[in-house]
Amino acid sequence: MTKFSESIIGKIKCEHIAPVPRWHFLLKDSAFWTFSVFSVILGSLSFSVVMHIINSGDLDIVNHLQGNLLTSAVMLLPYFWLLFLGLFAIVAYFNWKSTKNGYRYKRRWIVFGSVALSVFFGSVFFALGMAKKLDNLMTLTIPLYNESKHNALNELWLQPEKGLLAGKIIEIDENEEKLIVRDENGKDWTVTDNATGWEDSSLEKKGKIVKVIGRKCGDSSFEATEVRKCNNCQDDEDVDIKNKKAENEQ
Amino acid sequence: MIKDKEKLNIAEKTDEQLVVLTLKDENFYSVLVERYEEKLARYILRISGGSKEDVEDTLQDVFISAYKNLNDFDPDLKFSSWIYRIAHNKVISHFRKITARPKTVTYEGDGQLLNILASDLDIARDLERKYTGEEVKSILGELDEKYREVLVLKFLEEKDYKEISDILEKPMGTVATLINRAKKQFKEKTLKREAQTLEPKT
Repeated sequence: MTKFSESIIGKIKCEHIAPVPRWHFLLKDSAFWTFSVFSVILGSLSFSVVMHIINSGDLDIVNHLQGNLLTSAVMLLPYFWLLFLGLFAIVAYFNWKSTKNGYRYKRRWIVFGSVALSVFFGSVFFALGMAKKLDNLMTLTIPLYNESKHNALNELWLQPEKGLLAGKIIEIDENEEKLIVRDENGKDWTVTDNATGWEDSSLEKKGKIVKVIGRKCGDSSFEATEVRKCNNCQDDEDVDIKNKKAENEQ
Repeated sequence: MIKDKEKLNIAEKTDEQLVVLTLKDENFYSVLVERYEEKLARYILRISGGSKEDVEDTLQDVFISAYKNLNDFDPDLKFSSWIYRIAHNKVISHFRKITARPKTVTYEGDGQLLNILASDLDIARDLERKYTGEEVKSILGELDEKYREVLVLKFLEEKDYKEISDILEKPMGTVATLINRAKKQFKEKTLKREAQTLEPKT
């Protein structure tokens, strides 16, 4: 035994130094793995909501708008969720990097892999309807989210001059084929729907929130060519529930 | 203490087998310490440029830390890579606190350095003709720390890319890039020196 090794063994014995138990390292490594997986799941949920909002049908009305496509598309995309997706990809990267073999992979591949997994699982979550549930939950529980969502909706759909209108149906006149739609600012619009294509016949109910495409033909009158449902309008769901309850009571 | 009969077999044991034995009996750790104390002392000295006392302190920390973390040793790695990694990290935490101190990197006893590095750089003849070992040492001392580290591991510690990757905890591709850049920087510094010596003195 060399003098040095003797001093090391002596120190170990004298100070009662013992190896840290294996479970401690397993726990640490598992924690990093769990956080990585968790970040990917949150990233996937973020992506599924992005898909849900894109699916709301707003993207294809870009043609109705003046200005460039990119600005319009960016306006439509929920930056909030894209930001989350990016954030979770970074969190996943740092956790992955802290796992035992994480250093073997390049940063760009870890981030790319995390985003790719989020896109894949996000699509699965979207298909399972989880995106809509999450969007609704966020709308109900986070006032800021609710507000920004409505602002985005208004920014796009409260442009009657450009032929876009969104609001709640407060009156239906089937004889005259007219609707009264109240927009987010509380203004009532008389919408003529005699040449209108309804996306879904169940939309033609009082209380439904609809998106109307057409043209403005007066101070408060609008001629509709198409009426769409508002997929990402929470109020829409509420109305459905209320209607169902009322029907059951009857 | 290790029994005499066991002592005879110890020399044949691999580092990884000794780790398993150490976890049962701490006395086996002395064998691992003996195997690595010189190598690691030299490595610490090469990358830190610290004093003999600093190196000894760091070395002691390395072995104590390695002992405490023996259960974290990954059998997929070589034990040498694992303990070099600990040494690398200890050097960073010990010596980077005192970066303000002027650093003299020591390459004592590395007579082969000139030949190994120069032949790899394809400037062997120039170096042999113009530079002494002392000058090469000084050029290496001028290199960025990250470059010096990889050159030391590659050419002096004779580690392969996989081992360097495991020691520095960087992807193999990054290690290859670092080595190429380090060689380039080394070459630039030698050429700069050459230009300086050729300049007429006024």
